[in-house]
Amino acid sequence: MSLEVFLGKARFRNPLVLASGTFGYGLTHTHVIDRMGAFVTKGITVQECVGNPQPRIWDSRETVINSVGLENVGLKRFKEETLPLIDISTPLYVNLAGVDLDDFRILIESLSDEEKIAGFELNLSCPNVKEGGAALGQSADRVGKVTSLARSLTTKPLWAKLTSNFCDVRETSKAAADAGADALVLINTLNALVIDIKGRKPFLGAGSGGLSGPAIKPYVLYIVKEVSRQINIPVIASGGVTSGTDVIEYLLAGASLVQLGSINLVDPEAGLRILEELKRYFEQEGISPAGIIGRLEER
Amino acid sequence: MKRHQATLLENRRLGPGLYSLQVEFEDLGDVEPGQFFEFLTGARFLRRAFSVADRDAMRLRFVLRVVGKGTAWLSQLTEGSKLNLAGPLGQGVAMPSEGPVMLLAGGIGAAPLLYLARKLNEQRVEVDALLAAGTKEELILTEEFGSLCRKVILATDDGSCGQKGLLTDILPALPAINDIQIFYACGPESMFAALKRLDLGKPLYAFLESRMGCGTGLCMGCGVLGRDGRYHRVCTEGPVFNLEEIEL
Repeated sequence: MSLEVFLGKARFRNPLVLASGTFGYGLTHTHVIDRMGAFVTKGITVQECVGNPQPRIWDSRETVINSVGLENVGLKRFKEETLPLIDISTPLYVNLAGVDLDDFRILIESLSDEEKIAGFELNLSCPNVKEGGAALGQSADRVGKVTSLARSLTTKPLWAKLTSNFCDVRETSKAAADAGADALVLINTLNALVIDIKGRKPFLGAGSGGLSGPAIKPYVLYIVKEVSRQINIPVIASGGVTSGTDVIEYLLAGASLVQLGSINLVDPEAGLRILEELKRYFEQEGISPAGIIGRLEER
Repeated sequence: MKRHQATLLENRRLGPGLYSLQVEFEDLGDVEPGQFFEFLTGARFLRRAFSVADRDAMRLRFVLRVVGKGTAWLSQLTEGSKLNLAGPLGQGVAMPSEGPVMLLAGGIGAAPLLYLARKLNEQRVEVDALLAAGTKEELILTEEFGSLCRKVILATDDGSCGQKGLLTDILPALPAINDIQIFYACGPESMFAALKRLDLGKPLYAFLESRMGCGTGLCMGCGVLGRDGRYHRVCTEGPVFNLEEIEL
């Protein structure tokens, strides 16, 4: 049973995508990456970024809150040192984290001709940086401008990774689609605050962080269902997947691909387990993933 | 990352909020001092990391201090419980070519240094230990260190056992200190900062603790700021660092 999914002309061997920031640059655990549908790198900024002060991680039973803050090697080192070392058979998507149009222009112009790179994920939504990121992603106008610019600079697939923090994600989704994005990634982490009552201050070094994990899955499922019915480009779901069942729910809700994020931190081989669960399901049902995308029935 | 279904053989209270877990593995290769395992708990999403405190054949000992719900969950496990573990993770410590070496333990920092003491003992490297804690009740593993070390010095903040004072107050006055070739230290960040100020003139390897996301180098959650201005992952580049190389 083939689990392949097509987004336009781009083929994915299965609907699973390793989410940005949860699997490094693709230099380790390649036995997992090579079985997935696609892999997205840690977000790359124009300048090297040291990230936020400690502590950077907090969790509860069903959530992770992180404030890593886009720590990355920066465009120059990524292109010259990291990219040559990446050796995977899975489509490589590079997450681009700009704070303004100029950043996105520099990032795409520099990387667009790299044959190893299958496509780009435009990070219009990271809550862990003071400028850009989420601020860009909260305005449909700015999402449209960044996506249009990116579209004019590359023929590679463009995924727009969006936020629902303090904005209407239906409008930003439409803006990205109208500007030529090939797919929407819904959604980045939710703004979150952890308070240390003894110190009467935020627990995380950056003050606040981004919430992910199983607790956000029902919320993201709803967004995926609503947006995928209103927008005519594919949706890639990202939110709290820990099992094959979760992936199937997202496909039914309207997602064409599904990202795995927080679960990679608990077990970097979780993707292999989830893939086996998916295979079993589709074999038993005698259908393909493409056959259930958006097939959620009415109550 | 190797995952294990292991069995809890013993869960013993050592002091206030301090527990010693003896865990039996079905399959266990080399484990070096400084390496750690991550425990899945029923109370938190992410695993919790604990360094190896000792080894006897297929049994590893871990010592934990209850600081939140994950560690509380582990502290309440009964003997015979099955544990979902990942490891060994991290880099082992660089072993010295010659001694004597001194181990500097602050509180539960004694745990990974005990396993190092055992390995040093096996290699016939002379080893001294300075074990410090807040109170007598928090001073742990003293007998075990006693059986492996040439000399063990005890200290407590309140003077309830051994010398009175902080580890870094007592250390400079120790007569044995001049012969020491390498120091290995594990304790709270304030202890490392004070050790840095002492400037002992010999290499000092710091066993660091950090809030970890993945433990496998993927998430950049656990970084420690290096002298080069970049964060270094405690999980895969550490958890042991030359004290000179990190900013505190």
